[in-house]
Amino acid sequence: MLDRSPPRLARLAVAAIGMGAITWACTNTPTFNNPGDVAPTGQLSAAYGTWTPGPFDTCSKEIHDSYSTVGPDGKLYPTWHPPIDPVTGCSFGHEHGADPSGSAIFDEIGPLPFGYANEQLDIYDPGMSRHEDHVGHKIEYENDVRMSFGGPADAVFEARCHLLIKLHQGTHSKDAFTNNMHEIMYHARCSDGSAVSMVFMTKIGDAGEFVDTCTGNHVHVGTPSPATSPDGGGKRIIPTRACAESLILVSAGERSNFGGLRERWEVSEQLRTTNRRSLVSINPYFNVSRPSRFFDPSLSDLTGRPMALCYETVGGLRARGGDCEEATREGEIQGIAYDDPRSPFDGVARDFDVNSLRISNADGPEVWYTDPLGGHARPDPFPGSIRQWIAVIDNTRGGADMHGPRIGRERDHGAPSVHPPN
Amino acid sequence: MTVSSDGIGSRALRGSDARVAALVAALGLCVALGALAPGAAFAQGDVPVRDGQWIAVGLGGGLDQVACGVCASTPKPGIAGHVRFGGTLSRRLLLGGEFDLWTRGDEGVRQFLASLGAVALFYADPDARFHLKAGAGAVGFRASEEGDELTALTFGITGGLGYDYPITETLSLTPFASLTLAPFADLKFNGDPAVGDATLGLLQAGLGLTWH
Repeated sequence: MLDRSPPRLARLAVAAIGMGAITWACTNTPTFNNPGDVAPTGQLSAAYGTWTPGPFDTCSKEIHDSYSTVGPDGKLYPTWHPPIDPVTGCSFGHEHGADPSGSAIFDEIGPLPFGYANEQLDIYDPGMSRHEDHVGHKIEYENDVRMSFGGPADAVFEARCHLLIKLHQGTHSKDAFTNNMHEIMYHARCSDGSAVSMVFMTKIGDAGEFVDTCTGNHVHVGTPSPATSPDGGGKRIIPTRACAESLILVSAGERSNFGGLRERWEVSEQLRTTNRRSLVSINPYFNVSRPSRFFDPSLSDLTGRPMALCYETVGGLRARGGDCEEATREGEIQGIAYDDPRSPFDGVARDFDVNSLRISNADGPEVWYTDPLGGHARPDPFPGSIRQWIAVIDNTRGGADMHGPRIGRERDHGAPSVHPPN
Repeated sequence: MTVSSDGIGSRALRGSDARVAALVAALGLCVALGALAPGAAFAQGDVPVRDGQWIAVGLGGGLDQVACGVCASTPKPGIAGHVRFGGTLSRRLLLGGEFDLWTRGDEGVRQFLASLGAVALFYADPDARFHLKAGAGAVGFRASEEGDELTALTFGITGGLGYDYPITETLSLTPFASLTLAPFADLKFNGDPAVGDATLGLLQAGLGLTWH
């Protein structure tokens, strides 16, 4: 176990002087292999160059593709950019969440190569190819997050973490109705020595289905892509048409519950060794308050639009108050399409619950190589493997493992030009 | 990278336990200063009885610190007290046993730190009132909330000082301060190993009564 406490004698001396504050300093943290440090091969990843501007977007594809970084494999990947290009002032119409350069660990981690795990999956198992769209890559970070340990341990233990996390969470298309594999990048550096840098395809819930926001029922939709997607822990909670109707279309005197349209993707994931021993366990929940879709089995693309509900009347019930009235100026503005920048249902309001971070790697090593799904971890690389960095520590502490709060709620990721697909 | 730990101290200082402890500790300090001041009124120059069996009790404030790699860096204030009894080997050396207890309640968590051990009190000369204390014994810690508990039991040493301010021939008011340190503690969460190699510490000050 990585012992980050001061030496024993020093601790005694500090305590004897008057039990003043014992200042912990995180030093000598082995660094993650910054992907940006890898020599470029000149090859392009499958994720690179996939975005093209739509009718509401003023940035060119070339400007967009200039936001790139070299991944651990030397290939060029898209990375974070602001919704408005600061050089030209043009708009991309989508956003990727918080600017990761604000993270206290960004210098150590480097730019995040969107789609790196997807790329490795192509190598590891070509029959399981899974390429996600560009706009769904969403970053959140928080510095100096106070973690909790639960019960009496909270009165004694204290740890703070710098967190930098990216999940591909597309909430504009039918993709997540069936597809449970989504790329996650999870970087944490904590004052107690807990630290991870992980990249893999997380399996969120069972493939081919999701869980309805209103009823909690499992909704079986169809064959996932890839068809061999393994089931995972957690779940993707997404509203159905019936759910959206019940929330939005209300009678006179009532107000629509737009907050109820929220999607919640509950991750429950582990990095495991070849003998299925858990090295790291996380269960963050990712929330999107105003997604631009709900599941509508009556439509050919299965994708209903909250914005369209603003104009619907069913048996005297209709949207009243809140987002719909503001967007349509109480019905004056007709025909706002789901992908119009005036639509409030653009998926920019997000937050996530950090929840637990359990590391069981007391015997090391720090560097593991897993398959792109986070399994079969072993100390040496293999084709399609992903390098994972895990501090040599066991922070489970007999069950007093640490949990993080909800973060990101106060951030506004959007801009007036942002619109679905986002 | 440095991760700060601000904001803990302010939370730790809340609560009635902390206020009572601070009040008692301040009172003890005032009495001690008064007793040491030249010309203090009562019994200055008197020599209290110091023979036979004796018993002492004390109450005051205490700062508890559990030090480990993941432990909060701010000492926690609470109420502390002790019971001590023993015999007199000479007017310069008393031997006895001592039980110390510190407690604190905060946000539903009740914490205790207790020690039980042998102590020796040294007086520099037979008529001295000021004395030093040294001892060793078992030290235990417990924090509990709704069925969960964090515990530790280890061996510790203690040192301290006091001043016998005579009230009567056999009774003294004894301001005191002491420090207990207990290294090599293994913290357990609900009985399972949680953190090893922790150090338990207790700094306490207060006012006591000593009967001979």
